[in-house]
Formats: sequence, C-alpha cells, structure tokens
Amino acid sequence: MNAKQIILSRLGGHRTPPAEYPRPAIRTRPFDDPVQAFIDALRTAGGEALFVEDTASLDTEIIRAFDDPANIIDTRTPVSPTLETMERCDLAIVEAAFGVAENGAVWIDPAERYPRALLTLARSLAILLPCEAIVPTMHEAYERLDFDELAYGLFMAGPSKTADIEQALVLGAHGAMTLKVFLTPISGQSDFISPKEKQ
Amino acid sequence: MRSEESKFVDHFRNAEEFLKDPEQARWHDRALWFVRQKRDTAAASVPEWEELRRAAETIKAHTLEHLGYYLERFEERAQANGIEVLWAEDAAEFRRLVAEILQRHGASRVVKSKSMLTEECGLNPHLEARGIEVTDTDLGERIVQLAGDRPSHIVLPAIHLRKEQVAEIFSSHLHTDPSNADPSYLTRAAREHLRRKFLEADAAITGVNFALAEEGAFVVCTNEGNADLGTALPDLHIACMGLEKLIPSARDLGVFTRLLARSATGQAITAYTSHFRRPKPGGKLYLILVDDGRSALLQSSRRELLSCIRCGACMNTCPVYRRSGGHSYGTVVPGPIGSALAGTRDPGRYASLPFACSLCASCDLVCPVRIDLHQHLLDERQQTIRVPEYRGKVRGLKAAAFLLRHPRLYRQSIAALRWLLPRLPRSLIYNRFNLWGREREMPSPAPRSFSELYQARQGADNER
Amino acid sequence: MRPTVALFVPCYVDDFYPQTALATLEILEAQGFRVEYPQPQRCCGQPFINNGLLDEGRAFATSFADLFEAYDYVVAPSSSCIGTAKYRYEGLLEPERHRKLAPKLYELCEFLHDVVGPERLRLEHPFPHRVGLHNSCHALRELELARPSELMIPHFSKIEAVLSRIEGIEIVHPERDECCGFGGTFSVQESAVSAAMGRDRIADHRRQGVEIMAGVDLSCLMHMQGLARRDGTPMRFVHVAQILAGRVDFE
Repeated sequence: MNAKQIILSRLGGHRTPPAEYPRPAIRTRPFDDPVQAFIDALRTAGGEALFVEDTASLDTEIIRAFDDPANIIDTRTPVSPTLETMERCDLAIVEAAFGVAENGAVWIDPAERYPRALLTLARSLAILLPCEAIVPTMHEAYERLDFDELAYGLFMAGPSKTADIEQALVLGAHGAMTLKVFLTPISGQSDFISPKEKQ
Repeated sequence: MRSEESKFVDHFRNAEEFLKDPEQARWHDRALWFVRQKRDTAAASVPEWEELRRAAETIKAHTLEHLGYYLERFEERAQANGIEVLWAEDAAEFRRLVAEILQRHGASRVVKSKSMLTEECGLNPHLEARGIEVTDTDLGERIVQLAGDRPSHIVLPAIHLRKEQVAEIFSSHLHTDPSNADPSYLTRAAREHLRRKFLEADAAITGVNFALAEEGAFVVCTNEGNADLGTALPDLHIACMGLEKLIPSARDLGVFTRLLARSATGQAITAYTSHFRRPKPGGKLYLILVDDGRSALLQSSRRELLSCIRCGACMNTCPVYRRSGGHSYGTVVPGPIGSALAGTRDPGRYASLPFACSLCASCDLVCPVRIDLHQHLLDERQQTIRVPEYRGKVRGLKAAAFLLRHPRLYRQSIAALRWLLPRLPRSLIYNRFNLWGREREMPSPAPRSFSELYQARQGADNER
Repeated sequence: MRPTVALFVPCYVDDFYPQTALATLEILEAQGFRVEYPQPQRCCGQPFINNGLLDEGRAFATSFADLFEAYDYVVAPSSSCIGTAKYRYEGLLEPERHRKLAPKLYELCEFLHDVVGPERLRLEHPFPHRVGLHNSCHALRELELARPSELMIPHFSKIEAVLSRIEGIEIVHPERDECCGFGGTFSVQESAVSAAMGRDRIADHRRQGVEIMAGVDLSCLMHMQGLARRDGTPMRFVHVAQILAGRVDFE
C-alpha cells in the first residue's frame, strides 16, 4: 500500500460522502456607509484611501500621492517587467476587482497581466478600486469570487507589516511599504450596485 | 532524538525558571494580554461574532466527519488544477518527500514561510543535513533561527525575546549596530537581508491555512507577504499541510477569514490572504498532505483538537502561558492547545502539561472554533496522573480522599491541627514539604467549625 | 408548603470559614426558606475529579447524591463545588440520577437571583464600603453567573445584581477578569505561576483603590489572602454571603 492508501484506510469510516451539508448561514448586518467603513478599516490596516473625483486627473493624483516616484510600473495595460525592473520599482499601479468594507481588503488577481512578484517587490502600491465595488463582509466577498479561472489571487489589506519585535508595528516587512487605494467614480461597466441605489 | 522524546517535561520547574526574571515575565504577560485585548475589540466589532464561532465549529466538525471523502475530492480537484498532491503518513516520510523533490529539481536554497507542520516534523535540520539551506522568512522565525532558538508562540515566534536581544542577534549575523534596538531599524535590516534570500532562492516552502476541497485550491495567510514573495520568484513551490486543514469549499472561507486574524492579533484580516490554485506558468507546485498521527487523533475522543486553526488566541489568554513562556511546555505548539495535543502524542513525557492549567476555561471561550480545551486537559489528567513522577501526588490525594470519606477521622485530624498549629514553631510549619506555604501563609482553622456552631444553634432553638 | 433548601457547606469552609456558612444559612432563612443542614457532609470530590482520580470522585459524587437528592434545592456558598456537582458528576453518577440532581444545585447568589429574584431580596445590613469583586472562574465560565470578557454577549452579572441591593455598597471591578491562580491542586503543583497570578489579581484590585475584596469562592480568597498576608499587602477578603448577612468582622 502507498501512503495515500494507508492514510485513507486509517480514516476508515470517515470516507463516506456527506448526505447533506447544511452550510451555516451567517446573518450579517449591513454597513450604513460601506465606503466609509472601508476607508476606516484600511487606515487601521496601515493603508490609505483617496477619492478621485475625476478619472481624467487620476494619474496626476497618483503621482502626487506618492511624492514623484521615479520608477513606475503601470499594469492597466499588460506588462512583462524583468526582475531587475520590478526590484527597482518605486510604484506599481494595479487594479482591484473589489474591496471589503469590514477589513479594508481588496481582491487582486494578476492573472496573465503582470507577474505575481510585482505585488511584493514594488516599494509602493497604488490600487485602483471603483467606489461602488465594495462588499460588506468576507461572506459577500467569497460569493463574488470565481475560482474557475483563478491561478493565484489575494486579498490585500494595507501594506506588508510585522510586529515580531516586541509587538511594535512596522510597515513594510517584505512587501509594499505603503499602500494607497484610489477610489474611482462609478465606471459604468461594473455589475456592482452601489449601496445607496440598493435602498 | 529518542532519549529527548522520553525525557519528562517538568512544566513547574520551567515556569519557575521563567519567573525568576520578574521584569521579563511581567513584560511577557502584559504584551500578550494586550494582544488578547485587541482580540476582544476586534471580536466586539462583529455583531455576529458568537454565531461565526458556532459556524466554524460546525464546518470543522462536518469536514472531520467526512475527512477521507473531502481529502480525495481535494486531491482530484487539485490535480486537475496542475497541483501535484503527495501523501505522507508520518514525519519521516514527509521529510523524505520534501528532500527528494528539492534534490530532483536541484534546489539548494529554500525560502520558507511559517508552517507549524514543518516545525513539528523537524524539516529544517533534515534538509540542512543534506546541504540544503533553509531560510525562515517570517521575521519572528528568522530571529529565532539566527539565534539557534525555537519559536515560543505559534503566531508571535519571538515574543520571548526583547528588542535588545534581537539587536544583539542581528549585529552578529546581519552586522547591524548592536546598540540600535529600534524595531523599525531592525526590521529594515531584516528586509534587506531576506530580500537577497528571496532573490537567490531555488524553491519556496509554505504552510497552508485552509485547503478547499471543492476548488482544489489552498489559502495562506501572512502579514509580512513572505509567502507571496517567496512563491512568486522561484519556479518550485512546495506547500505542506496537515490533513486537518481542509474545509469543504471557498464558500466556507468567509467564516474562517473573519475569525482567524481577529482571534490571532486583533486585526480584521491578515495583510495577505493568498489563494493558490494553479502553479505559475512554467512552474511546479507540490502539495504534501501529512498525517503524522492525525488519523489516529480523528478516531479518538480528542478528535475535536483537529479543528484548531492555529490562531494562538488560547495562548494569549492563558494566564499560565503568559506567566511561564512558550518554551516551558517543551513542545512545538505550546499553551492550552499544545498541552492537549502533546498528551495525545506522548502522555508520559508531557504528563505535566495537563496540570499546567488552573482550569479557568478562558481558552474555550476565545477559541474561534470553540474547542473545549480545558475539558480535554482535564480528561487527559486521568492518564497523566499515572506517571511515576506523580506517584507521591497520587498517594497524597488518596490519603486525603480516605480522610474526607471518614467524617469522624477527619474531625479528629482537624481538631489535632487546631491544637497543633498555634504550638508549632513557624519554621516547622513552613518546611520544604509545605508546598502551599512556599508562597503563602496558611489559613488557620476557626475555633469552632460550622457543624459545631450549627449544633449549638439547633440546641438553643430546641430549648426555646 | 415552603420549599426546603439543603445547605451544602464545602469541607474547608466548615472548618476554616464557619462564618460564611452561618451567613449563608441566615440569608436563606431571611428569604423565608426552610433550611436544612443534612449530615454527615463530605467533600464534593473536586480535588480528585480534577486530578483524574475518578474512582475516588465517584465515591464522593455518590455520597453527595445520597445526601442531597431528596431536596428541592441545594445551595452552597461556592461556585466551584456546585460546578463540580452540576457538570463533573456526569459519567460518575447514573445518568438519570445526575439529570435529576443537577438542576437543583445553586451557588448562593445564583439562587438568590434566579429563585428569589433581586427585587424581592430581604437584605437588612448596609455595607458602606468600596468592594472589589473577584469573579471566580467557575462562577464566570462554568455556572455563567456573569458575562466573561471573552464572550461577545450582552453584559450581565447575577452576583452584582444581588450584591448591589446592599445599601451603601460600592462595587468595583478590576481591569482583568482573570483567574486568581488557585485552581485546586494547581496552587501547589504550579505554585510559582499560581502565586504570580494571585499577586497580579491583588495588585489589580489595589490599583482600583480597593482594600476589601469580595467573592463567591473562598478557595480563591483563601489563596489570595495567604499571598497578601505573606507580602504584608493591606487587603481584606470577605465572602459575598457575609456582606449579604451583615456578618463581616475584620478581626
């Protein structure tokens, strides 16, 4: 017998398929203002959210917010930067599919558009998030996610951080040292309904 | 290794040693209580918190009930996603598999993010003996690795060290300024040092927080981003998980991602909650499913312990852990859950651990999956009290039971004590066998017991 | 007919703290109950059960049931002994016997709160003092007499609800509702940690300006009293029953 067979035989009676799985349903309480909740949660996570009133001025605002970064990698169009470029990257601009109000996290799936490593090698991250694409909690977040096409994707809540030395919080352990989310106005392409419209 | 395994872990002596540095002990207690308070605040911010805990308990119990089914399902789906799934029945097989994979790919420099399983199975020394360099990339783990030390907490591995000690460790290994103990300075130095390790690595090893049977994918949670950076660069990724990390589907992740970080550190979610479903283009992704005693645990009355999601909340709240330090347990996983697990592995060696508990039950109530930890520790005492080390204790308890079962004899002993105590010199009462008196004054028996007072009262009533 | 309450006096209370037992008897009588003190009373068996010596535990559980099962209510000035009989006798007594016994068992404040009701309490003795309330673990996390800080449920405290009926009393809570470190034989087997825990509790109460600590478990108080005396810390310890019955005598 190989290891798999040995282990499965040890598991004995625990191999029957479940007749049913009554997945516990959680009753969540909606946020009065999910966008504000997102902003507050992101601040707690060491990040920052900024409103962009006009999409035309987005690029200028990003540059200003990061104090004129020298090496920028903008992933709004597919890029294939080398390891050296990514290492020197001061700012990566990436798009998030949606955000989560309760914890300030954003869902990022690099897919084939840029290398995974960019997300941790870049010193700073500018994340673009349509204002209306904010779900209340992680339950709704996972309802949104489609795993069929996924290779690797992550929820990112603020910059990389550690408190391993005397519980003192330090931002920028290995990955991005600063992370700012730019909340863009409704794009018209999203299937998200803004919470206000819902009411 | 053998002799080490059979050596009795005396938690009391270890704790006594820890408390000999009261300043450090006080700091340790306060630092962890502060984490516990952050957990309280984070939990209180979720109105349905208790409902979430019950849901997590239910999901884990359900998965364990059908663990074999879900494992096969997971393997099938993961393979379909291009993940190579391997099974290891014990630590030795696991170590062998990892070494083989690395050697087959010619990998000699490995970056590893936090995995309690690899600690449990002694992976690092095994690989190092084969000329493979393993770098722990979690800052806390890297600190203890450089110091030749062991983690003392599963979430905060270096919580037993002060920043001055870290400065000393870093100055001798990373050539930092030994007089600079600023956490930001030290973290920056580690960042630079580990960045090189990441860039040079041939392979990444990660743990797994949750494996999803339905999706054939898995989730790794970190705050530092070390699992993401580690796996993003080299083409080889080996993920290691105990059988119990499985949950039915991504739709159950809402419950666990909401509970994990809040329980662990009081954060709403970890900075990185990363989902791996396919290898990188051109890369190779292995996932090793490790039993190492878990299937036996599943068949026992301790099955519930497999629900643990390794948040460390039971450690932070445990008044004993905070005042004795993680190393006092002599285990990879310390604290309440560690004590309970150790008893299932080697009740003789770890016999003192179920007694390193005042049965306060605080751990049960912070546990995000509602494991009845103190009940398990209580139950394990039935076995562990039988070890030779506790022969004297058992004899004493049996004598006390005899006395308490015979009221007249008991009365006479108390009467003797009442007469004797005031007449004995203090040095004789507070002798080295008086364990109570080591730290405290003895209570004195009242001149008349309640039974006597009651008798007198009834007599007076009857006369009236 | 008035219901009969059986008074259970924990073994060490009988000899070391008779005033607490007397106070419990008086307070129950003052509420109009017929109170009996059936004898011979023995230990509840907690030290043996908690050390895994179940044969000994079973013997004590059986004599406890023999003595008390005929009564309507069994009340004790101890949450840990009541907790033991209520929850730890399971498996030691025949299931049916335990099922019938368990709901009759009450810690004193629990009884005054649940059976009598705080508004209907007859309490005659004022206690114009600042009192630090020690929440013992069995009261908080086993008998659920108050909300422990771990649980995200609405605040309540049966002990405080009862105690606050006392005229003039000022109830003070320590910063942490943590274990005092008594823990039965834990106090001797892990004496170093036990003492550290107890000293931390005392210091916490002292920081709140408390010089009188009250609780529903004398075992916790005995442990902390022993520490305070050893250290010369000015803290007095009193069982809640004594405050309720006006039987506080600080020597």
